[in-house]
Amino acid sequence: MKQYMILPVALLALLAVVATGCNKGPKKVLISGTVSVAGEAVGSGSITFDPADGQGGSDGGKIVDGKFECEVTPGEKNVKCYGTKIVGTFNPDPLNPDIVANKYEDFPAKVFTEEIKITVNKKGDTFDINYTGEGAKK
Amino acid sequence: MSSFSSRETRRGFTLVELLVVIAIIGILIGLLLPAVQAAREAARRMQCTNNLKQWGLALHNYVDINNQKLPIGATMGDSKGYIGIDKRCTWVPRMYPFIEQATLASQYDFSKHFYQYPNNQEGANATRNPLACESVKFSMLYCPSDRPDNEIANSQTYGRARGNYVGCYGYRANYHADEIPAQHQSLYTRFDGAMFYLSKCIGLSDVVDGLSNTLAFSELLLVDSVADADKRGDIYNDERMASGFSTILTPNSSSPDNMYSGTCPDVSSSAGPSDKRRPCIEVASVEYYAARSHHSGGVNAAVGDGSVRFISDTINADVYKALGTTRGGETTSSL
Repeated sequence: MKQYMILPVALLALLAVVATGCNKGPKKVLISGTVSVAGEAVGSGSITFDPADGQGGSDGGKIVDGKFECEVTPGEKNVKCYGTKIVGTFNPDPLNPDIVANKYEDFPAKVFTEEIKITVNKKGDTFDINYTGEGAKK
Repeated sequence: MSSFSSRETRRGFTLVELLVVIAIIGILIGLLLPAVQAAREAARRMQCTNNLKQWGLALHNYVDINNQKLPIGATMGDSKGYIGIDKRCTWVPRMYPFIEQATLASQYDFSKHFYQYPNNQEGANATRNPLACESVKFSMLYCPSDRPDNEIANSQTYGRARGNYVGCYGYRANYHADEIPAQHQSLYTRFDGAMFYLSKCIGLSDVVDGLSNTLAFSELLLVDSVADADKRGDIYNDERMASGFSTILTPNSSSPDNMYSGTCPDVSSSAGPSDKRRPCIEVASVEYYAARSHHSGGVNAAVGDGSVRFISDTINADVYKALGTTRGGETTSSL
């Protein structure tokens, strides 16, 4: 009986190797934090993390109620933010008068590029980003 | 009795052996199925590459008979006197004669806006005209890896086909305002040209970075629901970036696309959030869409010289930015 089992065991071992495969690319880690401008929380918007050395793609996520949570590759990052707030409703398409959409206003700060740097080390890192540079105050 | 004993010497399979064999066959089939799926996806990606190649060649054919000028990206509702086009239109119908859509080309009327007959069915109560040019869903508009429900929102009075293939508008955002707000000037002043412009067209000689170093077309993912007013891939619509993509975000970035009010399905859709592979937020003015695809690890893109490259999700962000520009003066050797 024993000799019959050698083949299946060998096949299973091969399968295990094949199925594991290769995991390419750096592993992303989940980070979170808050975004504010001159102390005022950014209501909604997007946050983007570009690698400071330019090696690799941009990661990011949405800002909801001043908070963000997203998966990024570890390393030093340039932070880009885009903040908006809802100030009412309006019709965005004159050809379709029935459509009603949220009216947004840009958050009073520039799209801050390469002005804020953070370093992502490990899963669970938190960052409280407060922009105080040019245009932060109205 | 003797016959019974002779039968006993012929040894059959035991139940365990049988089960082992069945298990092995099962494992082999299990191995094979994903391989078949991967082969199918590879074939779809190849078809997608082929489509982009055709768009790239069509662009060169267009340029050859149009005084060495590239088509205008989108007219943005008015010409501002650039090249005498005052009707709303994008680069797509101008390419019809060069992608073997001669019938559509002869029907399309450039003296009408894109939403007017015969380009589209006109008016709220108009009968849907099946022959309206922009309602024809020919296969060159679509990447087979993305299987979209491809008509524009039902809420619109006119239905036009969406398309996966979009022009490169470079490292820039578009503004829903005549005046660019001071806080966004930095994005605008960094703009170093692109193959496709709003309200303007350029010549091949304007691509000083070299055609081999400049992106012309790439792809993005279309929305699931026809009820959504998602402008990504709304290629006949001349509103800002609807017929294009930006290189501000690298391909398939997890960072959301900035979309104009009322057009992001994650926010405004009655059908709820869309696929997380095409995240978006709604904004007041600064709008940009990333190139996105279902291909594993990147997107296809047609380069200005007519070749098609696969651009990895993890491409150096600076290289990707440089690829989008026509006159950035960067050296891009690592594509």
